Amino acid sequence: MRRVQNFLAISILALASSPAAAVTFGPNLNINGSTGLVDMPGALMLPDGQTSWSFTGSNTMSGTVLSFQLLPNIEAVIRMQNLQDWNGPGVNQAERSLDLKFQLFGEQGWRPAVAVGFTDFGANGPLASEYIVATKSIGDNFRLTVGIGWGRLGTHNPIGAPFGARDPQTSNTPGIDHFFAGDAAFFGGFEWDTPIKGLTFSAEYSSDAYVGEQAAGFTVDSPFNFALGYQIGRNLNVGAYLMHGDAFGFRVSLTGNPNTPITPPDFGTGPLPVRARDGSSNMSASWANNAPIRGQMMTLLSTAVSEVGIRIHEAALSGDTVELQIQNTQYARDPKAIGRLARALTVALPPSVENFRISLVNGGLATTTVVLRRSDIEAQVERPNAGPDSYATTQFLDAPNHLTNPDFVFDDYPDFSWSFSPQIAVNLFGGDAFTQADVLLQGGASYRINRGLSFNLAVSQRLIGNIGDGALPSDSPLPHVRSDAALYNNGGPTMSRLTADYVFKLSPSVYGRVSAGYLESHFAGVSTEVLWHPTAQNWGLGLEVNYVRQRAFESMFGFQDYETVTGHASLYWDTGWNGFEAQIDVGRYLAGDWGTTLSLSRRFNNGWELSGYITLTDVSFDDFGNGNFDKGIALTIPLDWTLPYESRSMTTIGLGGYGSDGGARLNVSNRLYPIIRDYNQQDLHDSWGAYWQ
Amino acid sequence: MIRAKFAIGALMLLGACSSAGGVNPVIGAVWDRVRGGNRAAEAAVPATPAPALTRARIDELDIAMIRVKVGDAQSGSILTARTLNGGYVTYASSNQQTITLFGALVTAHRGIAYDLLSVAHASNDPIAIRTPLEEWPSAVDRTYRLAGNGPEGEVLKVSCALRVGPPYPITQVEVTYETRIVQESCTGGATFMNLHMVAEDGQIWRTAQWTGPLMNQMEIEILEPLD
Repeated sequence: MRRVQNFLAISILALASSPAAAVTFGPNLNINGSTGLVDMPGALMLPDGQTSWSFTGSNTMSGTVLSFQLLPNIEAVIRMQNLQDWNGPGVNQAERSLDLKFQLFGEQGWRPAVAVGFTDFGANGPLASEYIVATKSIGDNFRLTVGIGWGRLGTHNPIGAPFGARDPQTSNTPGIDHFFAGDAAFFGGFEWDTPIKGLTFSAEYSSDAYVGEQAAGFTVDSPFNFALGYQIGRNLNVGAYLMHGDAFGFRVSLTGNPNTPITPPDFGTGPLPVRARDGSSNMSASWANNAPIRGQMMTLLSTAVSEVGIRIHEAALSGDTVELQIQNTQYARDPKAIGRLARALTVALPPSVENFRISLVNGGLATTTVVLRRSDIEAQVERPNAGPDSYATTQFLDAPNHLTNPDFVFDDYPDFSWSFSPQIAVNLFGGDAFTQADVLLQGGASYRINRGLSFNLAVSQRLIGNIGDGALPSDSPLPHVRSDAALYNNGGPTMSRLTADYVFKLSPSVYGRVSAGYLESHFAGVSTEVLWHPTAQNWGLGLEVNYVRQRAFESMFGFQDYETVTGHASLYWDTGWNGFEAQIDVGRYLAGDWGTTLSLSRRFNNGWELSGYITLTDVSFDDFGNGNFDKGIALTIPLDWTLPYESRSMTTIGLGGYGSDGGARLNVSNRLYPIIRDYNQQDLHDSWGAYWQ
Repeated sequence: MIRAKFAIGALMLLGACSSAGGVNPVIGAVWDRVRGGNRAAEAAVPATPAPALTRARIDELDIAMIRVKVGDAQSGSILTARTLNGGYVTYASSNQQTITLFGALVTAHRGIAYDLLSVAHASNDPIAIRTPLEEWPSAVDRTYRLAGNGPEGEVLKVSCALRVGPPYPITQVEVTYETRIVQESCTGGATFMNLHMVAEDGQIWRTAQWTGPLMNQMEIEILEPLD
């Protein structure tokens, strides 16, 4: 009876002053980085793609949380939390969990939003729970949430076990048998958007009895928790919490959304206006018989378009057709480069040239040939349906790697280029430490002999960080292909690549690569790869075989005794749905184990990408060690999201995949699929809106 | 701590730094300050003031010309006609920002924040097709296409109600036009209001238009219409 009174207390308080209108304030983040109340979850979703990085702490835990609105109705949260004194005084428990919440209904009219959620999805660990929750807006600034939880959320004043008993927590071994099993308990609360702009107040009745924490000496004086949340600007949100009667907590969240870039996208120079031909245009093609004139025209064109971020590698001109192999060095979306080049061609070329065949080159490889007709451009420019009409009249073909009889060839080889970029590596899953991160400065240099052959160097220097610090010698029963990473000299400069690389095409739709040298930080050898990926196809097949030897710990150029053959067959699939791409790799990993890696990524049109992978091999969970199997996520952010000019540079924050021997894959820098993935017809379709920009 | 500060500073400076160009503007600014070189010297030389725009100068140039102001900008930019394609006139500024008009309807712009890709108008749309004021319809439909996913982009369809207001003479570069204020209220995929200063013969001499949900209103003066 008492629990019912407790549960209803907040609900009645919430209903006491409840005008009926749609709510206007956005969902709050709880202390776990999920949308909800204080510690309890809610049923609302953040805007699609919304990403939050939260730092949280309280008397019972501390940690970091990455939240991501995977789809409009699916929230994913990765938590790395340190449960204090869980294993005895001063002995903490590091817990990593994947939380998923599925919104079954959005809020509409009288109907509340309803969601079902899984904390520590697929594992029956200390954080594991399942819940069904409903959230209803009442007025412009008030929201009410009620729910029922199982597992950890079914421990305070349970009402019984409607679906049977729950197995005791054993380990993080994957499984689903515990879903909705065991005691269930109610929770609920409200959120109030205060008159102070950006400040919200939340109160809740918690169904979490903190059983494990109480066993560790923590006392729960009250099931009521309270929170203040405050939005500071557009990208910072903080929360302060009073929990269990006398415990305090905090949360600091950095938020952003790949769909709403900070910097307006186009403050640059507009494209050239199209110069349409008319009836008086001289359509004679006699000029094309003069080879020096053709060469001179292409040289001038190359000089002109290089000013706007387009490098012409090869060009051939005839009376009615121009063929160009170009590299886009500036624009984040390649159709924009195509469109701007096409506009320039309408101005620069004689009226008789009707066909524009533009091949996109990346990483030395010609990928897709886009075939445009000048008369289509003239008929479509500025017209209301120019976007869809231009895509409909464009052909996409597999590009030959070189033109047959070019009038112009980019002859600045050998070409030397360099770059510096920041890298952030975070280790969540490997080793014994809780959360480890490095901030690296990576320098790269490339000496390109011709379009296909290059020598490449990459050196990184750790600026700050702690990955590998305090790591104990590995006791892995597998060959120590990664677990001894801490033994490598991480303090000074690290040469992560010194290779000779040759890329080529066996046919217009088959790509090839051979790399030799110091392929990555820990291995050197020879790497070969073939990829079949017609541009009109949304999937491709690849095969990679490597013979490698482990590099020495202390010497930059020396070797250890371990050597192996590793390689994979890969299937790449661009689903065409919401930017999701999938990849399956099957083969032999560095430690000699056989298995498969499943990768899934979601790419946004402005270049943001969130990717994750899991690898399962014939290595047992026990032999694998902490984490049971290899897994990781990465967030790639284009730098033009925050820079005041257009750039193709990106930075990646990688999480996981560090220090585990099982499922370890060779880190080859210039795999073929990443080189060509932006250039197939599907990707060009997705970004074709930029063609007229 | 010193190391951490150094690291953050280094990251700020070195983001997006490569031999391929696109040098971080932070680096550019610091470099200019350190070397005290060309840019600083250029800044020290007073720029030659642009000649004041006069009606005589406009007549002398004899080219279609508009003045455009976006949002709260204090002064407008002069754009001149560069191309005519099927009734769509593209005007460009000296640094190649472009605006395309069909009649007086803004159908596209580039390089001015969030691009408007195109606009489809009805055959009786008096903002696009010059129509004597007394024959203006009470409402028209339009379709705005903004940058978005795929070739289609983001499509917003609106219906606009036109209401002719009182006389309101305006003066633009020494010439006074007898116009009326026309208020255009649009609803549908977006809700906004445009204002037009329209002569009795339907010529629009000044217009303030919505060009996208993330754009400030664009105010255009027709200084010299297309013949």
